[in-house]
Amino acid sequence: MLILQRRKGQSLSINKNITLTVVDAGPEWVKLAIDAPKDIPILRSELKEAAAENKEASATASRQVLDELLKK
Amino acid sequence: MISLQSLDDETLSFILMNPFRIFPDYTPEISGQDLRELGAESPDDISYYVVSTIRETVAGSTVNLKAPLAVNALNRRAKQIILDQPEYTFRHALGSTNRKEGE
Repeated sequence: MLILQRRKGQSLSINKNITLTVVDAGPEWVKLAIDAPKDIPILRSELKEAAAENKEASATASRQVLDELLKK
Repeated sequence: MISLQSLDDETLSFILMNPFRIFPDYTPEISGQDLRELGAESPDDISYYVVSTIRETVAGSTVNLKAPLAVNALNRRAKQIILDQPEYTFRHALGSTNRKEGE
């Protein structure tokens, strides 16, 4: 993994068509401006994780476990 | 337990739970933006459900405390929100809890 240090107002380029700029930074967060073509999906990682979790949750629930939970 | 069924896709459903029954200390903090999207004026107008992932055993089953469904009962709008609270995870073990007597 590449780790770079940037200051507020500085940016970096990825693959000629994506530019990331550090707009602001606090002790526990950074604000990034992302300039990229519209067809490149950009997602907060926790959204991706939530989507994966939903997918698993929607998969067939075991009848046996449901019965066990209902008895609890 | 509540079954959330898709009207568009009959094979798609989720098992929801009332998080406060399983985790009485659960205190989701909804963001102002999510509140606005739900057309709610106060966090008190919102009720919450959590999505559970039922696996082979109860011990292996989990609930998603990080991304609950927030429902505005006043206008029937709902969305799945993601909490900015690191203490809640997408996979909280269900096996470690017991319901209170009488529930």
